[in-house]
Formats: sequence, C-alpha cells, structure tokens
Amino acid sequence: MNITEYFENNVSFIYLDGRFDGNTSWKVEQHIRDRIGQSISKFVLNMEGVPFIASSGLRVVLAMTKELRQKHRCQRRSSDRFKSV
Amino acid sequence: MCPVHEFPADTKALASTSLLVADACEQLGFSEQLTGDILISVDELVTNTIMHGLKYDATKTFQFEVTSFEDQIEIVIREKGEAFDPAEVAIPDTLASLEDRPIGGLGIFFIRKLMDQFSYTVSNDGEKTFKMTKRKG
Repeated sequence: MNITEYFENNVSFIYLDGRFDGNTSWKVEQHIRDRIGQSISKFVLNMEGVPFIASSGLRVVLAMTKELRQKHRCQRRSSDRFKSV
Repeated sequence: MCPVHEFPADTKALASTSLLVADACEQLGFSEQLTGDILISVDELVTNTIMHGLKYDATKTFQFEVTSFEDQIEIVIREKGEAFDPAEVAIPDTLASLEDRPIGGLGIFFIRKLMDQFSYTVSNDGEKTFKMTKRKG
C-alpha cells in the first residue's frame, strides 16, 4: 500500500494505491491518526488505486469517520458553550 | 493430495494465503467475480484467525489448507488459539446510519454472504477448524 498525500486549504487529500486489507489497513489508520494529531480534521480519501478492500479497510474508514465526527461535535459544543457565557 | 501450509500469526501471511487460493481458483477456472468473492472471504478468515484467535502472537501458527475438487474449492484453517465462535458474532445492520454502526463485525458477515458453506468445529484438544467452500457454478 502506497500513500500519497497533498494539502489544500488545510484539507488532506490522501491517495491510496494497493490492497486495503488486514496487512495494510493499520498503515492507513496510523497515517490518518497522525494527521488528526496535527489538527487536520478534513480528509478526502481517493481509493481509485485500491483493487481490493477487506472489512479491516472498511473498519478504518468507519472508525476514522466516527472519530472525526465526534471531535467535530465536541468542538461545536464547546464553541456553543463559549458563545452562551 | 493437498499440502498443509503453516503460517505465523502475522498479517504478512495474507499475501501468501491469497496467492495460494488465487492459483487454485485459476486452475479450477473460476470466474474473476467468484475468485474475488473467495479472496475476500480468505482475507477475512485469515485476519480473524490472526487477530481474534492468535492475538497477533507471531510465535503461534495456524495451518492453512486449500483443496480443489472438480467444481468446488475448500479452504480450511486450523489453530489452537483463543476460543472464537463465529456463531456468536451478531449480524450487522448494514443499513444503519454511520453513528449507529459498531466498528468491526463485517468479516464474518462477508464470509457468510460470499461463500456457499462456512463451518466451525472445536476438537477435544481445543483445536479449532474453520472450513469454507465455494462451488464453481
């Protein structure tokens, strides 16, 4: 699995090339987690180059999406609280 | 006669198990679609074995066997790791919204959906055998 990435307006565009299976999904997860740690919160995953996706690949997409939505909701909630103070 | 292959519980084994099955499918003349279905199922079962059964402990191994019949392929995995009964895995609601979806649980669902037969047995000495088959037509 090769991961190519570029940034535009603080959005990470990730191009995946190769099998997205139990042997490679951790690599994608680690990459996205690292970016989330660097405060990137918007991603576009291009899977044109993925000939095969297993449930472990789907798990990473689902887990990361849920995590980002959860973070977004928390941020929104805290900014709403701030406004009402 | 089919050789029994032994692999350590490392996801690197997925490349080898896929290759063994892809070769057998080609020799049997399975269509690209059927071969794809079988390869997804193999990936799921091997990943489950490594992840749930053997807990990524590469000092432990599993046996992998591919048998070609006239119009059918049979894939068997044997290991002595943690108890893991696929029958206990809940059927996922694939129409549920993203928020309501649990993470994981799709692997066994795929196998049941894509293969003709899928069975699980445990011997008295704790060896677990997972067997799945797919017919050509």
